[in-house]
Amino acid sequence: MTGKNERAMRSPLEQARRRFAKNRAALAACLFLLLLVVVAATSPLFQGGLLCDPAAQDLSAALRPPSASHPFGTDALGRDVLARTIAGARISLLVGLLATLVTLVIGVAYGSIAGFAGGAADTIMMRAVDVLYTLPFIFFVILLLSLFERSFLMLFAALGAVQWLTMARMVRGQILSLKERDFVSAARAVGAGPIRIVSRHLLPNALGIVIVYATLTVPVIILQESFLSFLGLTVPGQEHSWGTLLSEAVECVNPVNISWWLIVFPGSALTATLLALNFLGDGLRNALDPR
Amino acid sequence: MKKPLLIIVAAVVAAGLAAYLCFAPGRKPADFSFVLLSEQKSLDPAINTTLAGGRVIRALFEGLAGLNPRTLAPEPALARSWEISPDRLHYTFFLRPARWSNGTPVSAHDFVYSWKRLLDPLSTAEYDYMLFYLKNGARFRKGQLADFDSVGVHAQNDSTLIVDLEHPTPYFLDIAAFESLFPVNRACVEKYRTLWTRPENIVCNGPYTLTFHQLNHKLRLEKNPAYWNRARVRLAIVDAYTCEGINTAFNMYETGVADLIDDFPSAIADTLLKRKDAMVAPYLGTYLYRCNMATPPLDNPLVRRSLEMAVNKEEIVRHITKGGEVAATSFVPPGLPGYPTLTGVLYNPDSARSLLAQAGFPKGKGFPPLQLLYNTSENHKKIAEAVCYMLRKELAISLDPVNVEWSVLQEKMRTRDYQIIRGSWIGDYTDPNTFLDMFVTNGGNNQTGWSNSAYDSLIALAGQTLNPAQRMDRLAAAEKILVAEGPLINVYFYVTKFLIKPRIKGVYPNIRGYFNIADMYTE
Amino acid sequence: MTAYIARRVLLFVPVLLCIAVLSFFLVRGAPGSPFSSEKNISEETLVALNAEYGFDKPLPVQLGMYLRNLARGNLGRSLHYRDRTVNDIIGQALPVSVKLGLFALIISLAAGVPLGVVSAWRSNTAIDYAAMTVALIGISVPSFVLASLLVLVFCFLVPLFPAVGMGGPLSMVLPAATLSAPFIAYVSRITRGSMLETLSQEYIQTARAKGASTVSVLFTHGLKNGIIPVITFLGPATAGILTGSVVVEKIFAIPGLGINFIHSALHRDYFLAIGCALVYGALLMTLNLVSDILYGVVDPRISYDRKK
Repeated sequence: MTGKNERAMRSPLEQARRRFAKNRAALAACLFLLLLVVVAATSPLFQGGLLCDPAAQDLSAALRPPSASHPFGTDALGRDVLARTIAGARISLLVGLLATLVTLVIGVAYGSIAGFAGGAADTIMMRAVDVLYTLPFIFFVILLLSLFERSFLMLFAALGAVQWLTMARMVRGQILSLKERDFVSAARAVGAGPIRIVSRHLLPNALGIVIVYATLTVPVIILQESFLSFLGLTVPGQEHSWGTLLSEAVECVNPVNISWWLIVFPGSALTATLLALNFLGDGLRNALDPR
Repeated sequence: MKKPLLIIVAAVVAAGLAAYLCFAPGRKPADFSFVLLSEQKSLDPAINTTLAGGRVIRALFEGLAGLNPRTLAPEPALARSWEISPDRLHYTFFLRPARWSNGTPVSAHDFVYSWKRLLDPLSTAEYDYMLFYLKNGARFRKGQLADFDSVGVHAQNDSTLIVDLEHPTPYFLDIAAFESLFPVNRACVEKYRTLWTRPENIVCNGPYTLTFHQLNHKLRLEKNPAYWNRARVRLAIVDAYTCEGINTAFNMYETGVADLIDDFPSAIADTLLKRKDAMVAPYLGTYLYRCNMATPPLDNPLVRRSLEMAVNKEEIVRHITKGGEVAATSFVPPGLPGYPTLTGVLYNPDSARSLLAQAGFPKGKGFPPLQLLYNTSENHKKIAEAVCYMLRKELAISLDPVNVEWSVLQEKMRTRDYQIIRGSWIGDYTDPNTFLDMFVTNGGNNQTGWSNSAYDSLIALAGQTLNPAQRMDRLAAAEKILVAEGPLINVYFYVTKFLIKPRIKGVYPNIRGYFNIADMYTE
Repeated sequence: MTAYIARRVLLFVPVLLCIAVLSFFLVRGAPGSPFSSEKNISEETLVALNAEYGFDKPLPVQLGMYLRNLARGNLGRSLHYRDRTVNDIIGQALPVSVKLGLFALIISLAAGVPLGVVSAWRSNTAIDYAAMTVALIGISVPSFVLASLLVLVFCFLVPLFPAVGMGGPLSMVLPAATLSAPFIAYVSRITRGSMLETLSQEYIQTARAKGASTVSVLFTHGLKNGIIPVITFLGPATAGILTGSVVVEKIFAIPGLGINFIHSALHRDYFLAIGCALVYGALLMTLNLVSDILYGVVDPRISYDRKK
C-alpha cells in the first residue's frame, strides 16, 4: 500500500528522471558527452605536456600513421591528429551549441508570442513560418557564406536561422495547449501580465519539449557545419572544426594510399558525438513523454 | 483505403523505372578522353583565358602558326609560310587553301575580322593585350583611333595577310600561335552572336568539330571532315570531361573513364611521380605571394627579403606539393631557351632574423600583425598555413592565413586591399618578357604598387634590343633587381604533371604543358 | 480540393518574387566581380562587359529589367558561361538532379520503410536497437565522408560501380546511395514510431486474432495507416535531398543543379544564382504541396475544402 502511495506522490519530473535512468543508451550517451566536454574544455591545459599543440607543424613528419608519439597519426602538415581532433571538438561543439542557442532564442520567442497572442496574429505568424519553410534556406546560407566575408557570428546566425522554424512551431503548439489550462487561468485571475504568464507559467511547462528539440538540433547543426566545411565555407581562424578536419582528410582518401587515420579518428569522434546527442535526445523525449 | 496506397506505390515504382531507363546515354565510346578541371567560360577563342580551354580551342580552330609539341618552336599551320622584314616590324603570312566546317574558304579577311573583333572598343576579350603588339592596336582598343585601317593588320588578298608591329617583337610568332588570335567565322558569329560556340551553331576550321557540350559534364570533339590536313588527325572521337576536384579526376583516370589528367592529388603526388604513366616536366609558371607596398612595414625591402628567407621552400615542395615542383629563389622559371636561371633568395632563418632586426624589429618586436590572403583550395590552404607557421616560428611575428573566395581574392588584389596575397603567374609565351614586363611601374598585372625606375628602363631597353643575347642580358639584369628589391615572395616553380595511359602517344614533356589533340594517336 | 490547390499555387507567386528580390540584392551586394580573372582585365574590357550585361545602369533599374524578363520566363544570361542563358543551364541540369533525387528518394523509402516496420514489430528487442542504431549512423556520418568511403570500397576494393556519375544506370547507384543514407534513417524512425502506434490499435489485434499472417498484418493492415507520417515527411525529405545533392554532385562529378548553384555563387554569376534559388524554391513549394495532397489522399479525415 505504502509503495503505491509513494509512486503516486512522485512529481512528473521525478518520474521522468527514473525513466531516463533506466535508459542505458541515453545514460551512456550522457556520460560520453560529459567526458567529451570536459576533455575539450580542459585540453589547452595539457598542450605541450600530455598533448601536442594542435597547430604545431612538422612537415618532415607529415602523414605518419599512428605511433607512440602521435597516437592518432599526423596530417598532411605533420600536425598531431589527436590534438587536432580534441581541438576540433571544441569548435564543433561550440558551433553546435551556440547556433542552437540562436535557434532557441528566436524559436521560443516567436513561438510563444504566436501561441500566446492567438487569433489573427497567430495565423499570420504561422503562415509566415509556412512560407519560410518553403524557402530554400540552406541555399541562402551557402550564398551568404560564399558571397561575404565569413565570421563566426555569421555562421551561427545563418545556421540558427535555418533551424528556428521547427522550434517555433513546437513551442507554439505547447503554448496553445497549455494556455487553456487551469493554472494559467488562475494566474490570470491573480492579475499576472502576459509576459509574466508566458515566462513564469507557460515556458517552464514547455521546457521539456524545448530541451528535447534543442538536443536534437545540436547534431543537425554540427553536421551542417561539416557540410559547409566541405564546400570550403569554413569557420574562419586558426582553429579547425571536425568538419574541416574531415574535408581535409577526404582529400587524402584515394586508392593509391589511404591515410585512414585522418578519416577514422575525427570521423569516429564526430559520428559518436552525433549518435550520443541523438540517443540523449531520444532518451529525454521518452522520459518526458512516455507515450 | 487500400487503392490510393497501391496507386502511390505503383506511381513511385513507375517513376523510378522511368528515371532509371532515362539514364543510358547510348553514345559511341571515345577514342581518347581527358579531364578538364574546370568548366570553360566559353570556347570562343577571343574570350577563353584558360590553358585547358586553349587545348580544346586548338582542336577546334587553327591559327596562322602552331607550336611544335616537343620544342615549342612556332611552325606553319594555317599560314603555309611567312616573311619577316629585316627590322622585324613587318610580317607577311601566306595562307594555305583551307575551309571552314561549313564549306566556305578560310581567307586572310577572316583574320582581319577576328582581330578587329578582339580589339574592338566594345570587345569583351580579356586577352585584348595580345594584339597590342600590332601597330596602333592599343590605341584602337582604347578608342583613340576610330579607323581600323590604321591598325597593323591587312589582307593583301584572300591568301596573304600583312601584319605591322609597334616594336620588334622577337616572340611574335609565338603570339600568332596563341589561341586568342585564332580566326572565327564571321557569318556564324554574326548570325548566332553569343550563342555561336554551341555545338549546333559552331563553325570551325580546326581538326575537330564540337558535337556535344553539356555544362559541367563533358564536351565531345569529332574529326572535322572539312579540315585541310585530315590525315594528321588520328583520334576520331575525343571526349573532354569536366570534373572539379582532383580526387574525382584521379578516380576517373584510375577507373579508365579518362585517359589523361593534368594534375595529381597532392597527397599521393610523390607516389604517382614514380609511376610509369606519369609525365612530369618543368613548367613555365611561378607560385608566389605578393606584398602590398602600401602596408608598412612591407614597404621596406629588408622586411620583404627577411620574410622570404624565413620560408623554407624546399620543405614546401618536398612535403606539401610533392609533385616534383622546384623551390623558387627567383621569379622567372628555368627552362627558357637562352635565359639564365638566377639564384636569388635562399632559405636562411638566421639572416632573416638579422634583416628583420636591421629593419627595426629585433626578435619580431613591434612588428604589426599581418594577414596572408589565399583563395579556397586545399593546396593553397596547406601552403598558406605552412608559410605562416614558418614565419611565426622563425621570426616571432604574427601572421595569419585568411581564406577568401577566388573572385574576392581577385578584387582585393586589383584594389590593393591586402597585406600579403597569394598569386601565381603562368607564361603566355616562351620568353622571359611574359614574366618580367608585368612589374614595370603601374603595369596592369603589377598589383603591388612596386616601382623601380632602373627596372623600368631595363625592360624598355630590352624591348628595343634586336640582338637576342643582349636582350636576354638586360632582362636578366632586370630580374636581379626584382628579386633583390621587389614585392614578391616566390615560393615554387610549377611542374606539368600528367598521368597518361600508356596506349596514348603524341604528348611530350615541355615547359608549357602544350599538346595538340590532333597530334595524338593510340598504339 | 481544386480550390485548395489553386490557393496554394497562387501563393507561389509572391514567394518566388520575394526569393528573386532577396537573392538579387544578396548577390549584388557581395564583394567580388563576376568579371574577375587571373590576369588583370583592362578597363576597356570591363566597361564593355558591364555594358553588355546592363550593369552600367542603376541597381533598381537592373532589378526592374530582371523582373520584367522573369515575368516572361526569361532568367537572363549567365555571366560566367558566355554562350549560355540561365534557362539553358537549368534546363540541362535540373533533369539530372531530379533523376538523382528521385532515385535517392526511392532508395530511402525502399530501405527505410521495411527497416521501420521490422523495428516496430520487434520493438525493444536487439533487432530493434540494431536497426535503429544503423539508421542513426546514417544521420551521423557526413555525406562527403560516406561518399569517399563508398567510392573506395565499391570502385576500387570491390569494383562494382563506376566512380563518377552520368555514365549509365549503374553510375547513379553510389551517388544515390550516399544521398539517401540520412533519409533511410529518418524514414525508418518515422515508420517505426507510427507503426508502434498503429500496431497497438484494435483493428490490428482483430486482424491478428482472425489469423492473418504476420506479413499481411504488418504490411497491409499496419502500413496502411503507418505510412501516413512518412508521406508528410516527403516534402521536407525532398528538400534535404536537394541540399545534399550539392555535395554528392561535387564528389561524383554529376552535372546537376547543385554544382551550378555552388559555381554561380563562387563565380558571382548573378543571374544563375538567382535562377537556381528560384528553381529550388519552386521545387520545394511544389513538393510540399504534392506531399500535402498525398496526405489528403491517404488520410480521408483531412479535408482541404473546409477551413483547416
